[in-house]
Amino acid sequence: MAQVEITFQPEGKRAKVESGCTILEAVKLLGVDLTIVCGGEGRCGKCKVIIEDQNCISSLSDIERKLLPGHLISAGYRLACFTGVYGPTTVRIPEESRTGKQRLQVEGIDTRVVPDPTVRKFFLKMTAPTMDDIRSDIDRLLEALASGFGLKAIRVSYNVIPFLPSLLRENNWKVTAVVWNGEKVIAVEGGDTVDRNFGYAIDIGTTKLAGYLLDLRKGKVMAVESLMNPQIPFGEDVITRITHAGKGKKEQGELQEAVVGGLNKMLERLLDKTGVKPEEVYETVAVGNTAMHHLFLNLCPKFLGLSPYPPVIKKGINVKARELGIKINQNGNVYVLPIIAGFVGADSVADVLATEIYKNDEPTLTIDVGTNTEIIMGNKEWMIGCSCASGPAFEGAHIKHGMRAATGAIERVRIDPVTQEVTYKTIDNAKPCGICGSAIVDVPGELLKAGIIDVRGIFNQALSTPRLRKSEGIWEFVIAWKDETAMGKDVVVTQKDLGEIQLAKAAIYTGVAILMKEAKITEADIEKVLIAGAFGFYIDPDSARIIGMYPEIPLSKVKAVGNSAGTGARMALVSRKARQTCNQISRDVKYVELANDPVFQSIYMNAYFLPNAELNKWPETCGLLKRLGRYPETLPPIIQS
Amino acid sequence: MVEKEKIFEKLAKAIVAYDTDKALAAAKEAIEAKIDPLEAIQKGLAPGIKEVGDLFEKGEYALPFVMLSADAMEAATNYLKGYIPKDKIPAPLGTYVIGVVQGDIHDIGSKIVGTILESSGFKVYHIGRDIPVEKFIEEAEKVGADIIGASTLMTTTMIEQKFLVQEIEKRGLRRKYKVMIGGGPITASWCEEIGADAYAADAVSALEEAKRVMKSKNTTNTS
Repeated sequence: MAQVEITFQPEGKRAKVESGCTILEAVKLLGVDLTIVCGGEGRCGKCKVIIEDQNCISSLSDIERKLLPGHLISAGYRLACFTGVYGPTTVRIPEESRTGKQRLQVEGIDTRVVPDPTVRKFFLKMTAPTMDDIRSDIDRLLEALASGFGLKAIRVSYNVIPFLPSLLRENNWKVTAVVWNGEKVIAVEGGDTVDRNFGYAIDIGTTKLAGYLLDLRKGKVMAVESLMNPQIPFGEDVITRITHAGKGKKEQGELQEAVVGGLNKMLERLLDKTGVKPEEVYETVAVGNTAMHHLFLNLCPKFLGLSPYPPVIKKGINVKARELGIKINQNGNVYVLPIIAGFVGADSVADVLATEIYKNDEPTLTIDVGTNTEIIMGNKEWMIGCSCASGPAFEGAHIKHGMRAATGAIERVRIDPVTQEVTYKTIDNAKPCGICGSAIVDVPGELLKAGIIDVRGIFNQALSTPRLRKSEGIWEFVIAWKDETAMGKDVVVTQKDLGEIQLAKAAIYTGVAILMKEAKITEADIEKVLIAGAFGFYIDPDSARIIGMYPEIPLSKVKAVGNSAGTGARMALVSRKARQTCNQISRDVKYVELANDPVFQSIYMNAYFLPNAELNKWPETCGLLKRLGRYPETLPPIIQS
Repeated sequence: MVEKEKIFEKLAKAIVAYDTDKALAAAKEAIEAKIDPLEAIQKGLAPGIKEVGDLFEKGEYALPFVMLSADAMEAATNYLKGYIPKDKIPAPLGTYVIGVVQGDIHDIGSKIVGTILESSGFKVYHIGRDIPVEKFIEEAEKVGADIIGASTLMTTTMIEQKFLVQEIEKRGLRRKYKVMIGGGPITASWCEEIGADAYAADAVSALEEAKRVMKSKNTTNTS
């Protein structure tokens, strides 16, 4: 039977299956997260999937016609149990068809800020017009604001005005004015609603969205939501999405609508959870990397993808929510944080805001690990930053059995350095169906300590363990045997996977090394290492250090801070002062273009080795390898610049 | 004869072990054993770099090793070339202009390709990164190139390779130059779509492709 390739999004799992097998069979084989209630008999209609390119699948069955509404069918929806696959096909699992949620770390460190929101509410008591007092309704309102609260030169949003007269009279001239930034009345509500003032903070990640509903007066988080970024079908990484959006207005709009759709879906859930009404949410603050920032604001991102990668706008920007399609109060404002440079975005500004490295005496290093890894280093006197193309390996892409952090993903791997036996832990303790980022970081160090690979990351082919074998000409190591896994197939790490992981970590180290060089400091000067980002939260700092992702700095100085970009967004939402600090950060962080550095190539190539070709910079790791008898006899070649 | 084979093997092994010192030592040994330097390059060094390419394909060798092997090959080739009598220096296999397209600054790959081509008998001009289409053609005109090689690592700049082919056609130079493309996101189907002459997935296969392209160029030109 011919084999065809099937890809599941957004998990990113791929497999070859026999031509003619159903999508449901492939789902079971791979352990893809999909709701199946009736067991695949075509009764429940729950296993809805979206297939855009329907060229290589069976035609629509009667059962699907019966169970799927017409508008879904025309949108490409099919039922997994009744759709056969005959050629390469990409299947998207929509949010509503998933069971276990992907693990999305959305909490961050909580930095306390004194609430000082841009949106404030004022309860006004006015008197009704009389023959002696024939001021207009608006003048009455504005003068009440001026006399009661000292607010002068205030404008009123047009669409507040048309129904103001009846509102004022129905409420006996007692209303609450919602004022944005001390300059504009954006809503008037009947009675005293001062205690209901809400905002929506969002962190737009390439892979996932995080949303927070906040009480602006208290500065408190009321509810948290997260969602896969609906732009994923347009491309997994930012460059592919920039390329798509760069094709024209239509394509650019598609990406903007996709992300706004996701943000509105999160908002809807936050409102459901809290009983807050959409019109009571008056402001949104958004952060994201520069590409996400441009695509959210519908700014042409084309030139971000071309050297020297200039952004369209650097400053923070205020846009009406309705212009972007964000469904909060119709006059609500969306503030998007400033960025630093083409590939160091508003998320990095938020990272710095939340981690407060600009207050420290000694240099702090923050690493926000992702497909693009942003690194900021500095203290109260100086800050520099860069972006490294670390690639999607840590997201599970380009890794044979890589997957995102979802139920059944192997998230931790340990290999006994003596017996070479493997132990692992999966998310939700489910049967393994792949391996996710945190374990992908574990693997090279564990293999190295156990003598299964050398410092070049090459398998020791002379080793006799059934776990190490050659498959289709490529060496691989078995992490989980097939009788343990959900897909009835061994979960392996291949020689090519190791190469991908090593290039990814080398890119990150190169960024750190070049920033240290620019700042003229060494690892000994670094007081703290903060690993930021949702994925960073789950990385074992020890594993990351053994593979040389960052310099050998004592582990006591290394801390995972979670989604600090989300924390920064929340701070900017509730505090005007925090927004000013953002502008300062955006101006102060000096951007360093890595590829322009003449030593880029040699640092990058040396960093490919485990932990690095320059072993003398890793004394502790070398000591460990020596004790285990794994220190290399032939030292790796050091590439000179 | 056995002696000779052993030296060829030493040369090859030194390249695979990306060991410049060993490669130079083996090259010296070849000269001392009165082996034809050209034969030493073709039967010693060349199979070595070929094996590096195979190892790369299997994932066993990554970029740094290919780069180091290419450097070792370059050093040994230069040493051996010094012993080829002037009148016996063979004509280059072809003249190759290589660079990274406009908008992209990632040039490690193209540098390795250049080194391997140069060591294997091509005359190579590496013209740098972020190079506009016009500049590729100007340089090719200036040095009398046979092949123009355009590399890119990013999907955003792949389009430049297409523009290069179009510009060459527009200027009526399509029969004069062969165009090869390469880089991370490049595939055979992209090559076909834009009408380039060849594409290679890695530096060693780029050498094979360049040789093949030269052969087809010579055939078309004589027919």
